[in-house]
Amino acid sequence: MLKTDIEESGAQRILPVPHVVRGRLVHGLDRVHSSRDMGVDFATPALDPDALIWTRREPLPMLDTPIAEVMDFLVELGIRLDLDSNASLQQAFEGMNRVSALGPRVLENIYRDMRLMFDRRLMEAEITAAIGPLDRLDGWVEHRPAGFANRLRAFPPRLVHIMAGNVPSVAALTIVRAALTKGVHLLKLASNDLFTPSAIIATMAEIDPDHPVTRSFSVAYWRGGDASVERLIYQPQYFDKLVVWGGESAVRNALSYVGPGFELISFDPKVSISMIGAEALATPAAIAETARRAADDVASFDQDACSASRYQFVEGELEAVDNYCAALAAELGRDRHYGNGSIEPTPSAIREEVEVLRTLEPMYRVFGRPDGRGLVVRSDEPVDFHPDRKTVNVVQVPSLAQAVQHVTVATQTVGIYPPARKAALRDALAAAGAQRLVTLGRVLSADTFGGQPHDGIFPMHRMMKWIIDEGEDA
Amino acid sequence: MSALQQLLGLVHADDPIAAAPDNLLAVQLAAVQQRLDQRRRQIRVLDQRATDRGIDTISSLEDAVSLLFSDATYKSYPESFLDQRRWDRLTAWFQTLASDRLDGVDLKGVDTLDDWLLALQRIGIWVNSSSGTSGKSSFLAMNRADLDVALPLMVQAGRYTSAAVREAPPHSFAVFVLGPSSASYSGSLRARMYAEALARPGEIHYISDVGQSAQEGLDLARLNRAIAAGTAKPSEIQMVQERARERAERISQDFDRFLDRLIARLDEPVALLGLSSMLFQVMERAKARGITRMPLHPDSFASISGGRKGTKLPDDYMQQLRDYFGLTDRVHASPYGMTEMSGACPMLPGQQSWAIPPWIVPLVLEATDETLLSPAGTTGRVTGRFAFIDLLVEGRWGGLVTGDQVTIDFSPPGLRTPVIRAVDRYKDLPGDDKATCAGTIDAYVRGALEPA
Repeated sequence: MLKTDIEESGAQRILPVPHVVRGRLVHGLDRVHSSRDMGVDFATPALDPDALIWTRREPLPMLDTPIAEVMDFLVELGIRLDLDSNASLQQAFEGMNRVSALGPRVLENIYRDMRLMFDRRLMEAEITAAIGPLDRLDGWVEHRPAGFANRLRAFPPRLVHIMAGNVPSVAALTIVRAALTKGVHLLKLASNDLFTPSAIIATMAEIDPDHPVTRSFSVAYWRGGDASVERLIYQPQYFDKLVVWGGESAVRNALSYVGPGFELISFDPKVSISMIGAEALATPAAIAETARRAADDVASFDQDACSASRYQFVEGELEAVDNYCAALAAELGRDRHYGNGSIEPTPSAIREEVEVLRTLEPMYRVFGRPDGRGLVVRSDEPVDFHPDRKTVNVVQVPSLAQAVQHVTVATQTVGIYPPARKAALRDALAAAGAQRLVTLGRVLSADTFGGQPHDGIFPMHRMMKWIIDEGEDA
Repeated sequence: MSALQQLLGLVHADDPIAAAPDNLLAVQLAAVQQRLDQRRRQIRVLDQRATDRGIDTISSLEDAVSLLFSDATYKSYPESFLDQRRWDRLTAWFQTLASDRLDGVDLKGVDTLDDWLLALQRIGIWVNSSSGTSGKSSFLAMNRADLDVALPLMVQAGRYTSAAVREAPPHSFAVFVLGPSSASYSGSLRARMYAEALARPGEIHYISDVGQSAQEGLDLARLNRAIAAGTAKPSEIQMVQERARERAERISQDFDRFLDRLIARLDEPVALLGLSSMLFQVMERAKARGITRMPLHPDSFASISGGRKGTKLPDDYMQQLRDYFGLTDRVHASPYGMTEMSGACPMLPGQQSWAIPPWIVPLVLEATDETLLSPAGTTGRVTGRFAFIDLLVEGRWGGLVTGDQVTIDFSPPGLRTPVIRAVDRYKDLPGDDKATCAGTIDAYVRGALEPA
């Protein structure tokens, strides 16, 4: 069982962070690290680099396990990921409360919802969209795109996943996708989620410690960028691809290891926005509905997700826009399923810029206070600072078409309202660089997993090694 | 005499540290109160902050902490004002942070940022700018009083540390300024004033005569944003890179001439003024010519500041410079300061420690929040984020949180003010390991251009 009870080691209180080696938990307090974010000291077992890799001479554990059996196991895993009865998950939840800024209520919602991804229908949809027929994962399937009789296999890969901790559900998403590839996977923990991946693998081990799926996962923490570790294991001899979720430094650092035979799949840092048409602000009731939907998109994971809206381009007269801003600021103060009505006060860098803009009214107008309940800055040009920690920049625009100029290759999700405006904007947004369009309020829709692209790619498709056997068969 | 007058009077003391009052902190707090009362009436952002936090009276250092501005405050202008050359809007923004009324500024014919800076100078406002290495410059107001005191403060800090400059006859040095001869920001103006105060006639040498235009820096920052937005064409990027290359080449030729002149004056007292990173470049260039050491005349004076400041200088850069140029304790002064501070903290001779002048109220904060780690009565060493209230500055509010991590000794033996024992920039320290997929456009776009 995963254990995260605080250990008193001399005068220091140390949070234990276990590792997982091929499905088996490893406890130990050999290396002390500091999570500066929440000011917590934590300790991990010593790293044995040999235990983190799978040599190419040993058989991949899942290679001959039928995908149907993998999915049976994952479905069973989903059933066991029940916060009320799963002690490992409960321990992880306790630990997360010490290292994640999301707070117990949102964390509990995330932990209770994680199991929804372990749904056979979604898994099959994911494979069908990204891989094609399921049997491509199980063997060499006849493949004749131009009439020649070849045989194709979606061959299991060896992957290192550099995890992000801002959205703990990503742990479940990563593990489901990874298991479906039937490859081997090393998960590198982020200091703001040190427990969720290990708790899921620990639950696998509780079902069957020797199951091929269980044996295909290892989990470890080292400080991101620690060359003494990364230089040893980020090698094409051991791994095929590096899957990076994360900010600039994580991606840049990963890039330095990329070369022939060692490839990067990058879920880069992204910015998301909203586009709101004048008709969505036509009446007080419309303003209230628009503000509610917009706040859903802003406040997801306390705006610490790449899909969370930061800039909103809004059509309309100044008075209507200001009324909308006021309604949005009020909405942001409410608790949401995946967001807190009140978080820590706005960081000083944002607060100080906003403080000055506040004195420039009517050019700028500020709604709400920098108290962590939600801050809205209205302007006629996007602000220069990065709106974060429940801060939104509402930019008044003459038309949504003109707002497209603010979309770049770093734009991930665009929430649009009313939905009738989407059709006219879709191509221009995609051409400018946007990767996902949603109806406003649907940023956290449940259909994110199960056959959808992410950041412009089908992740599972990119993860596989696509191997062809050409010419006559025996 | 008011508390404020008492402290400001020390600007002209030979040794302001020794002349600090016994009850320094109490005098400083009273002076902060005087400054707050005065500036609230002038600076809208300060008044709003004091109102928001409910601070009317300064009864403790904690009260002062809530009134600190930061770099972000001074770069809070929307960049679109500069892109669209809306100098009226930029002036309106600048007014919210300046003590003096800017109503009289004449913006007719103002086209570039350099023009705007000159227009402000004509009404007695000098703009102090941090070098905008991140793309966006901060703008801080200085008025005539700030400019008048700048030279005495530089002279005072140099004399505090270096016996050579104390004992030198007036105007006796050949001065080598590790910077360009012209730039529109007030930093270069101050360097020129200091050089003129030390130099023999005709003996001021600048590293380059290629001007440093504020607008050029701006154009580069703007291009970087255009690259991010995908609106810059490859040919535009190429043109700017080509221009930067030509400029670098001209600077490089000037640099060689500068080095020739310095080598020609090694047997007479010289004064070196400027940034350590530039002096390091001088050393590397001299080494490339096969010169193994370049000891200066023993009566020389070297005021070398800036630390490593985000450059790739090696850990022992200062020792290397001292060895190479023969910078003895008598010669060498490395004051610790920043554009946001009046004057600087003078170095204790031969030590990597800096005495904090009595008109600077030092505060040590938690790295990431406003917790004060150095309340009244603190003794010994405290490490954290450096903040201060500059009681001297007239053109703006003097309270500031910096980007530096310092260790301050609040009870240094034999001195009457606190002493800074170590300085690092938070940017240069290892970052935390919190991974998140939410990022900025700057972080995302590769291939941004570096300032030339």
